[in-house]
Amino acid sequence: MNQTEREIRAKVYDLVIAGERHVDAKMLASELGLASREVTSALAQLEAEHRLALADDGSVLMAHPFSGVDTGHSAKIGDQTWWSNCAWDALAILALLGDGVATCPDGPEWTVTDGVVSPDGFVHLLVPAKHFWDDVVFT
Amino acid sequence: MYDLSKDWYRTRMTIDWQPPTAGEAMATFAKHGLTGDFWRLSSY
Repeated sequence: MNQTEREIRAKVYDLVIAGERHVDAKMLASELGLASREVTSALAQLEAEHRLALADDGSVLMAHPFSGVDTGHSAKIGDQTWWSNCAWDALAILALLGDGVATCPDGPEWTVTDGVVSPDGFVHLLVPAKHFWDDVVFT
Repeated sequence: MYDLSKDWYRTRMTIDWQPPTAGEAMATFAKHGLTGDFWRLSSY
């Protein structure tokens, strides 16, 4: 990962945490004063190294644990909600950013208070770890 | 899963984050009781 890729990846996270949901090369180029072509190339390299995942339109689909699309899984802290890739990632957003509520489309809401999750529950993972990146969207 | 997330994602947003090696990933899984074939990796 070169310096440009580092800066782009960091900016992706800055934007997502600030509430941006559709982060693309044009936005990143504007934010960082880079050429869109340079950003597009860097994003492709970051995806190849499993540091991000991109949508078909080249925008950021996954900056784990955040999702660029509404998957039905989300984490909410105060008035701000972030889409996540799965139940694990909804809880992960709270683990990273603070207490809040994790919501999944077919499960309970989990509330994290002072780092304690309630109620107890299960997260069912379908894909073995060695295949996480075979089809990361399905995972 | 929440506790695993803390370890799994602890450094994810740092500027120099590197994907874990297979050994590092499996060690993190094992720390939280996740062992066996499902959690075995040869690469990540």
